Amino acid sequence: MKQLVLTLVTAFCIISVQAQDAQICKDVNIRFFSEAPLENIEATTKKGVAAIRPADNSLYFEVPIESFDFEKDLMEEHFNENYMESNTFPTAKFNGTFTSDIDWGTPGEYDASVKGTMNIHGVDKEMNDSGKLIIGEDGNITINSVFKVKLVDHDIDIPKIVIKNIAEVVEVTVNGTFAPSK
Amino acid sequence: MKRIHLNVLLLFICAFPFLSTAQPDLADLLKGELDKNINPYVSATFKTTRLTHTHTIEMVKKNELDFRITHRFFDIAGDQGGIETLFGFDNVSDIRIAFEYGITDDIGIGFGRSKGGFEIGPKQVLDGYLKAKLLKQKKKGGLPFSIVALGMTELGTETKSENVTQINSFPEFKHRLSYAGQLIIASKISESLSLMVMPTYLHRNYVTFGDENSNFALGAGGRIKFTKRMAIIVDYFHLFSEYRNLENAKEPEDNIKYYNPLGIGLEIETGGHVFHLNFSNSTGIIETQYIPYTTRNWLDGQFRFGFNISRVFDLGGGKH
Repeated sequence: MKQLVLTLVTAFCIISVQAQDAQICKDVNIRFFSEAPLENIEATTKKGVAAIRPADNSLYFEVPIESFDFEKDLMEEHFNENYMESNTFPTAKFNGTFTSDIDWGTPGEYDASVKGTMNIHGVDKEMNDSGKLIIGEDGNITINSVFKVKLVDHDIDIPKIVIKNIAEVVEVTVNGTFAPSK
Repeated sequence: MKRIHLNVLLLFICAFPFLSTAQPDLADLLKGELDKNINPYVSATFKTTRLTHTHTIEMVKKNELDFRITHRFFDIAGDQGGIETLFGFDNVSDIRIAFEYGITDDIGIGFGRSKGGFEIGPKQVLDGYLKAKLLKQKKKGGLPFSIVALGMTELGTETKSENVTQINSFPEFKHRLSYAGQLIIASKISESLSLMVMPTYLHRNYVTFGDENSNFALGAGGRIKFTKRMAIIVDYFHLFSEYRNLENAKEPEDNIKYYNPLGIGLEIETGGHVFHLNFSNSTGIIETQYIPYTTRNWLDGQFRFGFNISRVFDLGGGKH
């Protein structure tokens, strides 16, 4: 009998851990910015998608490259056709885990750090970055992060003729509010 | 012992639905949402709204104003070209200054003024066009091509001639008008190859004696990228005209002969601009000029250098 209770408790524990199901965000805001001598380059999208699973501290982001909106349409076309080759590499993704301690059950603001693989332009790069993670009263997660991406890390090739136009490091800002997936 | 087995079994039964889904791939979880956010349509079939003469399926974007200057010099070689005229640079066979505007991403209008008919055809012409994207090529599955409809009108503004055999004798105002209606059917076959065909209907209200008022023409064009930023562009129109066949068969040689316009160009893209360096036997720039009134022949060295300058202004006050 004692064993039966123990079994049920164990089972219940597994259930309760799993009950902290993945949360997803369907409209992650991503902005990138680079300051360059001739003109600043800036683009935004609200079409990123992301998921966080507290159970194993995992985190995943993916964004369609073509969804980035530029002030100048020609710049947008160059971005897609020449630099990102979005036809061949339609999305950028990040697959990682939280490395800082986050008490998923307790609302509050956390300094979060993540570790994982960033895939841009089809090229993987290991990354460690940090940001803010907020767990709301309703348990929903919000994240804000600013990090830097080096173009050379992802084999993004810039011709010498326009090199002055484009910074070699871009600053990426990511914001998203998550909700349970079902 | 038996009870332990039972308990383990019970544990698995209780936990199974959770264990089996314990580590679904987060990427799979998002697949559906991501697909919704991916643009299903092919983009950048061509780099700009024009090849060497013809419109492409590309549109001026919503709320953008494209200020466009198109320039054609004169014959590079042949009896009127050569070093004396610095290979045609001394003469302008046509020049068009135009404003073109995107009402939406799929509907555009344009107004232009060009010099017009270098040898024959109305001169000092105003033109206006309406261009609409009807169907869009999809990336996978679905439609393999895009269709754009173009309607344009030409108005000749030169002073009326008293000589009724002349194209500019304009008995009535309506005789100053010509029209072209065109479907542009284009497909981005691969990243480096885009092709299009342009069935075209021409109607000119006033033509010289014997010429037809209405003609069909069939155009074809394409772009082959040979580096990420450079491409060869080509376009050609075949005009179906009995009158032209007869005129071309006539002796003597010094009669005006008609040719089909063929343009070949180099498209170079730098950081912020697209440059077109064109060579073409046609002297005109707008449809109602270069399709019916091309009288220069590639094989006689009567082709010219041309270029387009395009400057796009965003009138939308930022992003739409």
